[in-house]
Amino acid sequence: MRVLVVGSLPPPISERSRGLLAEVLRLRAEGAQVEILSPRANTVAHHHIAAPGPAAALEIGLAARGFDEIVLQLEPGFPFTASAGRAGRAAGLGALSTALKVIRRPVTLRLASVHDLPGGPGGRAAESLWATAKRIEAGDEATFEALAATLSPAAAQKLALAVAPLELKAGRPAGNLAGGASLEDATLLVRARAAEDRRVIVRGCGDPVAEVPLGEWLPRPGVGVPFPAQAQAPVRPQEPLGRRAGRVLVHAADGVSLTRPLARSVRLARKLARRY
Amino acid sequence: MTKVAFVAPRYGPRVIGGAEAQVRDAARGLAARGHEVEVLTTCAEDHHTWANSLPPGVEVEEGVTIRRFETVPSSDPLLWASIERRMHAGEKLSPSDELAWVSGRLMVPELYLYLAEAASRYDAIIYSPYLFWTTLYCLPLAPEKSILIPCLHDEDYAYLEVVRACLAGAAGVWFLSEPEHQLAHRLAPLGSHQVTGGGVHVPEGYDPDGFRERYNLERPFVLYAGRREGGKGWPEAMAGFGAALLRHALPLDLVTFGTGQADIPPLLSRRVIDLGYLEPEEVPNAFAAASAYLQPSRNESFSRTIMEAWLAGTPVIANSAGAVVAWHCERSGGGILYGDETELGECLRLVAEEPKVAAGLAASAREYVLSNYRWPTVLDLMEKELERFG
Repeated sequence: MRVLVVGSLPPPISERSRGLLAEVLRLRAEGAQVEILSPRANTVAHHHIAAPGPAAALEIGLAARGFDEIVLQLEPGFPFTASAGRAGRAAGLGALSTALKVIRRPVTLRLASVHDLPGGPGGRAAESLWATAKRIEAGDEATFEALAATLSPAAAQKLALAVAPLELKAGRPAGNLAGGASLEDATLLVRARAAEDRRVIVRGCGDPVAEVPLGEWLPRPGVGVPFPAQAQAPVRPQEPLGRRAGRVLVHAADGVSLTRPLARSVRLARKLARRY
Repeated sequence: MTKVAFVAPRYGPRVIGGAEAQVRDAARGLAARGHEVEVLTTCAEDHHTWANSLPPGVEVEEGVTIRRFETVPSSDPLLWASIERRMHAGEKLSPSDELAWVSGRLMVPELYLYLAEAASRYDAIIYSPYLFWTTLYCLPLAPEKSILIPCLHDEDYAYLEVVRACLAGAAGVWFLSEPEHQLAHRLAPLGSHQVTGGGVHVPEGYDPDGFRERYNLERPFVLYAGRREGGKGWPEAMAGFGAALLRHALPLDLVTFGTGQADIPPLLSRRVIDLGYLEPEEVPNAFAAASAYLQPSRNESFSRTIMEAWLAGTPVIANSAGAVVAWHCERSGGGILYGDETELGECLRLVAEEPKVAAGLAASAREYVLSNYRWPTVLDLMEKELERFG
């Protein structure tokens, strides 16, 4: 059986990503062939969603071809951006439920925490999404209770608790000082503990990366780059002249705020065309 | 006896690179001593394309179980290039930029998932080198049993926070040289760590005359071996050699073998000879046949090739900007350091005009390698460290 898992694995290692990792390992242990499509850049995944917001639903619809089942985790930033208002939320949830209806595969929806779905699990758009699911999994008991209280009786029947998040042990302990430690020892210990705090980038619970809106993951040409480097479009050896000219044009358009949306649309279209 | 996994981005007999060779020899050496050794690696051999050129799956080679996983190409190479430029321009990167950069060359999700499932089956998991997705993403899965052989260089990448986190978080760090160890202390607070050194095999014999004959090498030559690329100083070496030819009319050729395009300029095409890939059994003969070995790289954490040169009785001419190589040269007395193109020219001139003096330098250096860097010595240190994990 081939399963498409839509959601974010580490990094960062958070309750949510560990929960999805545990689900992936459970599916693999049952013999499923799993591929991961992540809505967040730079996480462990086979594919990453290129476009935030409602456009992601289209990408999921395209990616789901060839899979027997879909497991989809709702997360901050997916399927609508953190800054989306009521209309944005409705558009994101609506587009996703439409895509899931169209692809006609058994779908498991996961919600690690009720806080992962801004605006709560209720509302017409959310209800239409829950209706597409064969199974709805809650990451913890509080989320289970919140969903049980909000979902329609039909949807509540599909509700279950998700498998426990995968336990990952902490790294090297920072250690303690003996009585006669020197100033140098103390400084080293303070630095070690500071490094432990900073290590949230890789395995942490503070999750600074997770708070970055999806749009911020896109390149921002011009930020902090000296002028010659900005002006120089990336060149690939042995690339046909036409394609190279196109790349240079898109690169130039990306450097001007007026034409930047056009350049990004072209890149996105090319990326989707390449992938599907 | 411990059950050990090595995690490396590339592995195999045709993979060129000091860190890769170190991992391969250590894995085979520990397996030969009775440890249960696996290597978790990718299907790629080429570190430019990361194309999956080998089949995924499991194979056994000289007692080592090799598990290969397919690489997934970066979803946005343009973003990677843009971050790379900003990093070299001295800009401080955000955490998301750092992760985007690390993911920009290769990703191996199946390796990550395998380790998430199987990490508990190993006593220790050894990651090397530091700068790849396979290390920076996978090490935090089970830091309590992770050992990092970073093969650090003093370069922009080493100062990334994500690297610092791995150096600080690993349960053990093994260094190949003292300057690398000192660099790591400047980068991160370290836990348990040890300078194990790198290992080299001592050839049973050399055939320099046969080598010159087989490759029609009539003139004396200096040798460069390894990756022919900018990061290893190859273009500067060729430029310096060309300038020395013009300035001193030297009767020397520059012979090279290894991976990457040598890109020899037309003006030097008769004096720089590219042998391409050499079979492993021919490599010691190349070192023995050379009048000197040229090490232009400043990015070395051990420099296996200078050890091979000294074992063969060949002196070394090395870039003084490479802290590790300079340290070896000063300790062994077997290498002359140059600071610029002019000094490189004079080093080459010494080799050409005073071959006995140059060869004399290498005599003590062979003993230096035999005392410190033979594999049995290095494996003893590694085994002692592994006892903590068994």
